[in-house]
Parts: sequence; structure tokens; C-alpha cells
Amino acid sequence: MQKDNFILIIAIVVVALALFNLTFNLTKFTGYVSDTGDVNLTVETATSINFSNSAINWGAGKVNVGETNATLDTEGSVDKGNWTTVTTGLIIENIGNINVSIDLKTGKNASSFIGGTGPGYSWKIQNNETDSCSHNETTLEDVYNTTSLTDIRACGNFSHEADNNQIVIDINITVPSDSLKGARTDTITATATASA
Amino acid sequence: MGDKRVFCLIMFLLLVNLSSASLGISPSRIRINFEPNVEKEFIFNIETDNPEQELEAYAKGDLSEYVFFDREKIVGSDSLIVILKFPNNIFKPGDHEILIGVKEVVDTEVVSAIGSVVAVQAPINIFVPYPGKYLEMVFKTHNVNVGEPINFYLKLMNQGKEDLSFTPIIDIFSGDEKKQTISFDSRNLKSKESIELKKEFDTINYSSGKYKAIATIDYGEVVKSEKEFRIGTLIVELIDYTREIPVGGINRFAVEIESGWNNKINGAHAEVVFLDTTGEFFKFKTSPVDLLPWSRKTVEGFFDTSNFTIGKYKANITLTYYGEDSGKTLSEMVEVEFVEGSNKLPWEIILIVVGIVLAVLLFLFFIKKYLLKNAKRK
Repeated sequence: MQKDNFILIIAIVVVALALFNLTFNLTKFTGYVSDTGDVNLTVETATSINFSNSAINWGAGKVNVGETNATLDTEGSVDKGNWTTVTTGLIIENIGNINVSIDLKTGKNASSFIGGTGPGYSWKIQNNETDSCSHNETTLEDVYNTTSLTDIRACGNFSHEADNNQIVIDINITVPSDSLKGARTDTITATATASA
Repeated sequence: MGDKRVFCLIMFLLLVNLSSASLGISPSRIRINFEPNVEKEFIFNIETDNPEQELEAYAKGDLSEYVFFDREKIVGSDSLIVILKFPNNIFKPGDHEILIGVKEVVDTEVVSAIGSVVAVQAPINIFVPYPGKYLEMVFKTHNVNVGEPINFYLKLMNQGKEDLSFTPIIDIFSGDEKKQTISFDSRNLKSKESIELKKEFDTINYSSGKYKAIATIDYGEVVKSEKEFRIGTLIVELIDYTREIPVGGINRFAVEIESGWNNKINGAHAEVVFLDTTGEFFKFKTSPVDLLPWSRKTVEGFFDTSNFTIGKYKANITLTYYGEDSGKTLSEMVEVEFVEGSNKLPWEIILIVVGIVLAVLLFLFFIKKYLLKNAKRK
């Protein structure tokens, strides 16, 4: 009991000293100085894109014996041929801080890329994340279209918002049995420009 | 022939850049006015995730012949200096666009089936003034409630080669009747300069309704812009209602309403009282809705029509709504026709009944199973 009273007295003394100290310090103030500082910054806009999957390879293969052609796409299908399946197309990501337009073109057409009788070289653009591109101002639909050697507008307003900034370009090729042989290559160019 | 069918098409897997290829340019856009014989310098920051990536600069567009780079190629992230040397004259006035682009250079030694390269472009928008006098105007206004002031905004851009003097005016119309003319101060605007003006307009003497404001600027040529604005009051109007109801069963009665106020209206609902020769016959209330300024919505209620007979009934629809601290009501007498109902059950009801029966049967099945299980244990 006596111990409790002792702690209580000590506590009262400490609080009293603190109050005295506060009062003393406050009375020393002779004025009140206020100052403001302006913080200025400009966030510059940047057009920036990224191919998170930048190449497609089906490896080496051939058209099955007895077939006139084989069809390969990037959605996991290899028909009438023995190439390795590919399940992902080219994925473009808008990593800048503004919406952009995307134009696409290939370096070759079906004849120069694959050759033979009735080759096919087409692409399909889709949102890889919801609402990344609302398909306005696009010549591409959710179906495969023949590729283009000149720029075509793939997406007029490609969003930069997180979780809504990825589109995927799937590729479909038809390889005739009399196609060109050896390593066949092409390059797809994606051009990003700040949206108006 | 057999050999031809087994021709191989080989696509090697010699890739070096499967993971990522990013490229960026900043600033993303520049807007400038044309100035004869002036040389301008812009610095673009180029960013890539590959420090060894070779990049090629290019310019596209109808004025790209006046663009020069400090160098055509850069490696990795770096800055690019673009010099724009304006000629003495550009004959086509208006907007022009030069695209400053940077593109990854393809490594021709790398073999891949389908590879990709990235290019990024930053537009430089150049405005070439029109010959003589040319003014562009943007006119904006907004809706208010009765007694509140309204602001008119004018953005004026002198896009001609000559300086301009003018006194903007705004005429207020109610229908075809001119109610008032508001004048701004006289202004001088040099070529390629712009100015933003604001005028507050007191609506204290104006009743609620739709109005038209026409901004006019006479600078030798006359330019006009017209905007509609509304002065609101706390009112919800009856736009439409269900005019025909089949007799028998529970039926829907919808009332379409519209806010005439420039603020949110809360809890708007309708009470519908059907009358017969003796007076009040049946009444019900619809569900309440909130109305955004000037918006239109439908409120609805369901009621048993079994006691109604075929024919026309008078109905008093009373709308009740609340805005800020006050509530208001508005009543309108309408006519509703009760018509012969279909004896067939709607398919929605059939589905619901079937669903309920199935749920009950499943419940009973599980109960039975549970009881049997417990009985076996004992």
C-alpha cells in the first residue's frame, strides 16, 4: 500500500514538472513565425511500350505426308504438321503514362515469308487484359486477318492503366507442302504514338 | 511427287530477346506555333531496357524536311536532340504534325521465326497561322438552379497573322425571345495569342426553364457560338406511365419521372391511387429512387389486379421527392385501362415454381439420407 502511494506521488511530481517546463518554454516565445513553401513539379508524359513476349517460334517441322498444307497458330494449334505448338502470341504492354495508338506492320507477306502454293500469314489482335483497347479505330477484329506490309492501326486508344494495358497479337500461318525451305523469319514492327 | 509432300519448312530457335523489349520517348508530344526562319531545339529522352540496343531516329510528316537530328543512331538509353529549322513561309495554314520516332534496329544475324521490334513516336504539333484575320472561339457554360449565378467562359485564340480588336457579347434567349445582352470589355489580341474570359450572369430575374446563350465576336469577321443552359427548380415531372394493365394476378405499374433540378433529388417515388365511382378503390406506392441533376428514371410498383374489372380507371399519381432540406409533392390525374389478362402463366413464374419444388425435393432427400445414416449407426 505504501509502495503504491509512493509511485502515485512520484507520478504527480513528474506531471507537475512537465507542466512547469511547458509553461516556461511557451512564455519564452516572443512571436509566431509562419512560413510557406511552394512545391512545384511537372510530370512529363512518356510514350513507352514493351513486348513482354517478343518472339514466336514453332521450331523445325514439316507438313505431314499426304497433306497439301499445314496450319500453325499461337493459340496452341499445329494441324497437319509436326512443329512444336505455341500457346502465346506477341504481347504488347503500354508501360508509359499516357494512352497511345498502336500501328503494326510485317516485314514480309505470306509469299516472301513462307512461299509455295497458297501460303497464309495472318494475325489477330485482342485484349490480353480487359478494356486495354476498345477496338476503336482498329482495322483488326477478333478474327484472323491477312498481315500488312504497311502500318495499319491495331488500336487507336491503348490504355496505360495498370491491369488494362496489354494486347496480344496471335499469328496464324498456313505452310504449303511446296513452301520455301530452311529457316524462315519475319519481323513485326509495333509503333506507339501518343493518342490525340 | 512423294518427295514434294515431305518438304520441310524449318524455323530455327535461335533467339536472344524472348523476355522483354521496351522502348520509350519523352516528352510524348510538343505543341508550338510556326515562326518564320526560327530554329528550335528539342531534347527527347529515349529509354530502353537494353543498354546495348541500337536505335534509329527518324522524322515523318509533311514538315519533316525541316527536322535535323544531332545523330541518326543512339545505343541504349540516351537523349536525342531534334533541331527544327522553320522556313520563311509555310503555305498551308492550320495544324501540321511531325512525328519524331525512334526504332529498334533489327539484328540481322539473329534468326527467329517471327520476331518483333518496337518503335515509339512523339508528335510535334505545329500551328501555322491563317493569312489575315482568323479567330477561334470556345464557349462554355453550365446549368444552375433559380437564383444562382451562372458563368460564361470564352476561350479566344487569334490564329490569324493580324492582330485583332473586338468586344465579345452574349445574347440570352428564351425560345426566340431575346431576354438580355451581356457585354465584355473591349480586347486586343495579338497574332497567335489566346485569352480566356469569364462573365458571371445573375439569374435572379429568370424563371426555371431552358435557355440559349449565343456568344458573338465581331473582329471584322463575325464568329458565333451557341450553348443551351437550364435554370432548375426543385421539381420532378411525370413523363410517362403504364397505360394498359391486364386484369388478374400481380402486375407491374411503371412511372417515368424526370428531375428539373440542378442538384441530386433523393427518395423520389410515386403513390398511385385508383378511383372508381365511389372514390378511392385501391392504392400502392412505388419503390423510391434518387435522381441525378436533370436525369430521367422509372419507378415501379407491383400490385394485385384481381379485384379490377375490365375498363378504364382514373388514377391519381402523386410524386413525392426531397431536395436539400425540403420535400415536395406533385399530383396528376391520369387514366389507366385494365384489359383482359392472359390465362397462361408467365414462364418466369413456372421456372420459379419448378425451382422451388426441386429445392424442396433435394432438401427432403438429404434429410432422409441423414436420418437413415444415423439410424444405421444406432
